[in-house]
This record gives sequence, structure tokens and C-alpha cells, in this order.
Amino acid sequence: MDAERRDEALTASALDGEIRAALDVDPSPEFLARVRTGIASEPARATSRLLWKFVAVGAMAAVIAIAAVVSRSNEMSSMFPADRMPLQARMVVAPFSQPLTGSHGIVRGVVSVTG
Amino acid sequence: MHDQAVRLAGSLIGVEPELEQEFEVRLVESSTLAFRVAFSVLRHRQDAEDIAQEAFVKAYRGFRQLRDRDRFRAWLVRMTWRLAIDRQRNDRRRTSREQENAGPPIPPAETATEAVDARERAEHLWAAIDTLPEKLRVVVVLSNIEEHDIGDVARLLGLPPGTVKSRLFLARQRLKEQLQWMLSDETRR
Repeated sequence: MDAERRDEALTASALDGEIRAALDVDPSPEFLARVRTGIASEPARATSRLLWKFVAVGAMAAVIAIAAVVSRSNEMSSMFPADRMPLQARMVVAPFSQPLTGSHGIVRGVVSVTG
Repeated sequence: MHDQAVRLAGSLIGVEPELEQEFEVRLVESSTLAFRVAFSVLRHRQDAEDIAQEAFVKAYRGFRQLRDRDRFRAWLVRMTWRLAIDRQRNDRRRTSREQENAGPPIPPAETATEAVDARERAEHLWAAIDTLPEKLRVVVVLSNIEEHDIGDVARLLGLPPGTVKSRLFLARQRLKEQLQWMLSDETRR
């Protein structure tokens, strides 16, 4: 029983030894320098990403602003079409086609409110 | 203008000088670990270096947000493992496509030297490790890097030591079975 266990332990340790040997590989001497270079180029890449984000956000804001202005002007024109202007704007004084004489003999013009 | 933008964004995104120093220390002490973790999956020196580098760049990006800096190695190991597994899957897909196009592989010329035996043994070992499920594979690999004990592996994987111990036992059992089966299969041939 003990011998069996010892044998098993030995096999396990032999197995571990083989795995350890297979993994006993070191990176090349340039590896650390390469990683440092990769990291050093990171802020620049992040900056360009950030700049692109700024540009995209700016463009979107501009599009939204233009859309708002256009829709507002459409809204105004649909609320107040040329033939439905506000009263003050639409006060039309009819031409004195023919002078009218009131009961008191006063000549009056006709003020018509159309619409 | 561009320089100013770079400086501004650098200060917004980049790591402060003291953090950079801390990162440098961790880079030096964990570079071999990350490389070996990647190598255990990819078995290709250059690919393993690429993946380890990618993991360090990712780690650098997130270093400021890492609250518990003592968890750096665990974080790095998991990131490297994940990246390496992804690369391996992509490589396998690509290789199988290439093999479909290239036809059957040419067997190597038989030379009975010790170097060939050692290489064959290592190939068997890696093939057996590859058959293990991921959760057993990572335990057996980490326990054989930098003389990690069960506690170290448990900390690296964020698992209870008991779980690591049982997974390690199971992994060794399966490896032994797999290797015996491979050897017996070879002697039959």
C-alpha cells in the first residue's frame, strides 16, 4: 500500500518535473524592451482615439443643432402659414372702392378681417 | 495644437509617474510569468511574447482602475490566459482551413536520436495537457511555473485552496492516463 503510494507520488513528481522542464522557457532578452515600447505608444493611440471621439461628438452636436433649427423653422411655417398670419399682421384695410356714407353722413372705410 | 491635445489626453488617460514606476516594477517581476502562461497554451515563443505583450498593454490601460494592486499578478495571469486561448482558437481555425487546402501532412524523417525522443516525449506531454479541460489545464500549468504552491495558484485564480488541490489531483490523474494510453498506442504500432 505504502509502496503503491510512494510509486504514485514519484510518478506525480516525475510528471511535474516533465511539465516544469517543458515550461522552462524564458522570453527573449528584447521582450521587456518590446513591451515598454508597446506601452509607450499607448498614450498616443489613446489620444487619437480621444480626438476621434471629440470629432464624432462635435459632428453629432452640429447635426442635432442643424436638425433643431430646421424643424423649428418648419414648425413656425406650419403654425403660421402665409394665409393664417397673426391678426396684427393680417389686418387688411380694404380699399375704398366706393365711399360709404353712414347714417350720420360720415364717410367710413370698411375694415375687413379675413381668415 | 496636436502636441497640446496629446498632452491633455495623456494626462486624462495616462498613468501618473508614481503609478508608472509601480507598473514598471510589476512588469519586470511578472514578465516571465505572463510569457510562460502564454507559452503553455501556444507553444510558440514569438506568439507567446506577442500575447504577453498584449496582456501587459491591457494591464497598463487598466492599472489605474485596479484597486487592489496585490491582485496584479492574478489579473495579469487571467488576462494572458484568455488572450492566449483566443489566439489558439483562431490559429486552429486558420490551420484547419490551410490543411484542408494543403492535403495530408508529410511525416518527418525517422532518426533515432535522444533529441528526437525528448521532442516526442514533450509532444506527448503537451498533447496530453491539451486534452484537459481548461480549468484543470490552468491549474497544472500554474503549479509548474515559478514553483507556485497550492496557495499561490489559489490566489492567482481566485479559488479556494481545496478546489485547486482537487483539480490538481484530477489533472495529474488524467495526464497519467492519457500518457499511458499514448505510450501503449505507440508500442502497438
